[in-house]
Amino acid sequence: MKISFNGGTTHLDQDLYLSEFLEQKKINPEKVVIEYNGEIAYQSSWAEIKLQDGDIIYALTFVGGG
Amino acid sequence: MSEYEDERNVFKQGLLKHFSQEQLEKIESFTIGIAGAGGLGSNCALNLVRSGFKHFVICDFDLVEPSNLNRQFYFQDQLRMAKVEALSVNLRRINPDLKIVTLPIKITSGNIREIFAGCDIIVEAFDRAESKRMLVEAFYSSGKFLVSASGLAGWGNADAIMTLQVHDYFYIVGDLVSEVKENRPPCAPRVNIAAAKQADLILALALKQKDTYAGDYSI
Repeated sequence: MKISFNGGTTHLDQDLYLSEFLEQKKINPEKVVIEYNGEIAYQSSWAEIKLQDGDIIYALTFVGGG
Repeated sequence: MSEYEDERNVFKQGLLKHFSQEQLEKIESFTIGIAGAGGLGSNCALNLVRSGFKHFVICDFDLVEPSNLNRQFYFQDQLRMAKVEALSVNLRRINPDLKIVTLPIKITSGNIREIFAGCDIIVEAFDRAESKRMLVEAFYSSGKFLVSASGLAGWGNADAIMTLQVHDYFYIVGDLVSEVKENRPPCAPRVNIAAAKQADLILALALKQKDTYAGDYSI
């Protein structure tokens, strides 16, 4: 299946939950906010969201300093 | 005796040389939450107060430390004071007629929604990336106008500190990559630029002034 991740197309060979996908992308879950198909995906729900063909995911990673 | 009859009104009279009564009433109608009173929060608040905003909820549990004085809106004689108290004093020196709720407590995922429930606008002004994430996740879909910052450490290339619109009510200011680390400290110029840009977005919102960054907000 194909999903859109941060504006680019990503091909997935296997079924994945959002939490697994982010882990594969080596995204630090403590520093990122995820928009999933136009809605905020709360961190507590990542392990329950099974990715579907055509999903659109944006990961917004924050860096420290203020 | 002062040459001004009503000391509390002097700042407002000065502002009315720049804004119409209608504009100022609009600005004064918003309550702004400041999450973190460090480099971003203290300087953003300074810019907002000078722009006429009067209602604030300011939350930070830190005390003023010597290492803060390179960029934060505090003074040497305020060391060891609670930041929220010192900031409240400093902001009232600009405009004595402010309504500020000061909360010297730690913001957690458990209390964050309650702390800022009464705010129309929230300034994410934390230091740590994990805290920025927590706040943005909590208010991303809240309908409140949210202005975050990410990527402002170091010096040089200040034009890279840009404004990113994520959706109608959520903006991020910064270069998105310049993290504070060894040999890349947070310094006054870039931190102030980011804080001032956060404040400018809020002023543009209040005055509904469309520009290249600003959409047609409605709160």
